[in-house]
Amino acid sequence: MTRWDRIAVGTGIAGVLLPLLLLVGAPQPARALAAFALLAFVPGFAVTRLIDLGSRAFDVVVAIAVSLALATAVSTGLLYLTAWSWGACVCVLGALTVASSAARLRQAS
Amino acid sequence: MASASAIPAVRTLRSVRPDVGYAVLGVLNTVLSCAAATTVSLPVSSDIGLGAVLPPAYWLGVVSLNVLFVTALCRGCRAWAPVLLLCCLVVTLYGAAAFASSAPRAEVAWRHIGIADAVIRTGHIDPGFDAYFNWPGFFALLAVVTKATGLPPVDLALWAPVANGLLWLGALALVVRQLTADRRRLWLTLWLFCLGNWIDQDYLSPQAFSYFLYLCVLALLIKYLGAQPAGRPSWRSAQLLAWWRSRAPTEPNAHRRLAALLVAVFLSAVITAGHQLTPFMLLASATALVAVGRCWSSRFPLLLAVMLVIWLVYPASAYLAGHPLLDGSGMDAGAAANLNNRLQGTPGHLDVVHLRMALTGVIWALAVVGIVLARRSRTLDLRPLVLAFAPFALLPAQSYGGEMLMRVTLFALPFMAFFAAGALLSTGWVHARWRAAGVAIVCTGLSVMMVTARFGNARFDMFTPAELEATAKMYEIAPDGALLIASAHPTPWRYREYEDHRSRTIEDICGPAPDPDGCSVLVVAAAKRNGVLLMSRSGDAALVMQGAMTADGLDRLKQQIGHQAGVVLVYQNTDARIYRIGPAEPEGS
Repeated sequence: MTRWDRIAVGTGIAGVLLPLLLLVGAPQPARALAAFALLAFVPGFAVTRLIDLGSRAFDVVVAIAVSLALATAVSTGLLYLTAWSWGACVCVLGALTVASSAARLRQAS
Repeated sequence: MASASAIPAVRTLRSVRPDVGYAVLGVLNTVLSCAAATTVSLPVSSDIGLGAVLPPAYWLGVVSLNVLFVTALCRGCRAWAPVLLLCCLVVTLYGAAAFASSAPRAEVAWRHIGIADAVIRTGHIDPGFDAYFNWPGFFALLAVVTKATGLPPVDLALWAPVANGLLWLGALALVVRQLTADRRRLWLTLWLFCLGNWIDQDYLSPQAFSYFLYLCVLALLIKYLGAQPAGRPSWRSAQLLAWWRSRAPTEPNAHRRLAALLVAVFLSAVITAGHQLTPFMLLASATALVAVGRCWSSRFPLLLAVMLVIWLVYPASAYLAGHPLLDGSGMDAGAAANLNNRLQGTPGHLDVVHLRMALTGVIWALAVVGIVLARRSRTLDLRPLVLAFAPFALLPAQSYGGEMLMRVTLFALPFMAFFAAGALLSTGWVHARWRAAGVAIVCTGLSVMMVTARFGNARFDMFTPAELEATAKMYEIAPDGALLIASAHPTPWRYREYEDHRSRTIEDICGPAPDPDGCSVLVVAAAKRNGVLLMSRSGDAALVMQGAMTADGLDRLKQQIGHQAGVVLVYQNTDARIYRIGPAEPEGS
């Protein structure tokens, strides 16, 4: 398994664990850290690994931007569907993270 | 052997020590400034704002940070030292109010908390309620962040300026890295951007979030979707078109170009769903880059325009029906809303307004010098030039509630700062040591101006615990459907039950410079016998400082309102009074 594969696996696991941690109601400050990781970094990082921008600085900043944008898009979509709940939102973000990580692993293999 | 092996270690220590020294001193200065800011007592009593009441230790820390940064810049240091110093600067400058008060500054941040709260409670949006619900993206995000983190939204709002400042710098660094290979110019551009940003749009707001995404999209456009035309342009139309068509992509990897385009389109879609103005700014900037042949994807502005139109005609149609897009357009209307209406008030407030104009003027003047020097040395890059001036295209299109000039200044600032940094670092005009001293003096002067300009409204936009207590009481007192009336917009209200109450201010009801006697009648009439009036210290200060009312007129108004039939004083503390406006009691009862 290459380093990039390990990162993709780690990101995928984070995509499962972070929503679980939030849904079971982890104590502070673990809850806040998990929420910020899921809403502001992990899904975007999975996407930037998948599309491979080839620049570490871009990977980090664009990962934050894409994560926040994904959280916005998912939450807004749920609002327009009148199905909004923060739990549903973090679950969808986790699923997107897992899907992107799986696609990255498939791409690598 | 031991001494021989120690030599590389000593060399490493020698090379590391200055960087570590800058970092340690930078952190110490930040701690000094922030500790000093915590000693400020509220309410701020000066019309000049927070700058007038911050203790000397705060300013000492600010001056030292600037000197440290310029020393680190001129002596050459590893990248992490300027990054750390920039973080210190953001915490020191943008976090000053958060250290001075545990309540978020500015009424709008409180209002945004209220909209996110409405989203959480209702789970849907009502586009007919107000403009915010037609561009709900940011509030949907804030609702998720609030619930998922479990943090109080007031704490999120308190530290939002620092978090947004850091995010903006990260995205801006990506942009500037594509414009120059000179690392000193990169760091100085970011530093000047922080010092020039008195505009105060980095609070918990859709503008702050979409500005971060805007900078990210620009970075993607410049790096991955950049283009370089062959040769120089000719002004004959046929040759100009041929020159434009001759452009070749600067990113050779087609896969990365496509990936960057997809990410840029997605971020643009989120910007479009979250903010009224930023998509238009992005459209202007992207179109300008395409027009000068420096963007490979000529279809990107077209895609953005289509997304914008779709959003306006469908999700935002409810708002657009009552608010035409070009309402308040034209240079005269824009000048009246953006300049004339702001150039009034108490002498202290006017000094702050003039200082803001001077700060922007200094940055712009340095930028012009930078442009001239770059042109003379034939190194003028068209990309930052068009990005600096593209936002001005929107100036005559909309007054944006009197804020368009400020927003244009914000969107132009990164590139004005880039040229200003070029002017300050240009070689040949003075000895390096004198130049360093000059840069340190300019940066120090700008930071003093910035803190004073940015927190110049602190008298009315920083709230005391008594005001917060009174606002909470107002919601306990207000019956369902009651009209909430505050003396002026700077009031920490609308953070709860956002959609349950209509709200207006005395200025909304009576207009500017009203007659106190007539105004008291209008206020009571507006409540239609079911209202709650909150007269708070901050609101009263805003009315007087911004020239809407004299202090005597305000006293007279308070007296008159208290004497109106059906108006009862139901609560008061040191900083606020609450009146219940109910049905007039029958004579003799």
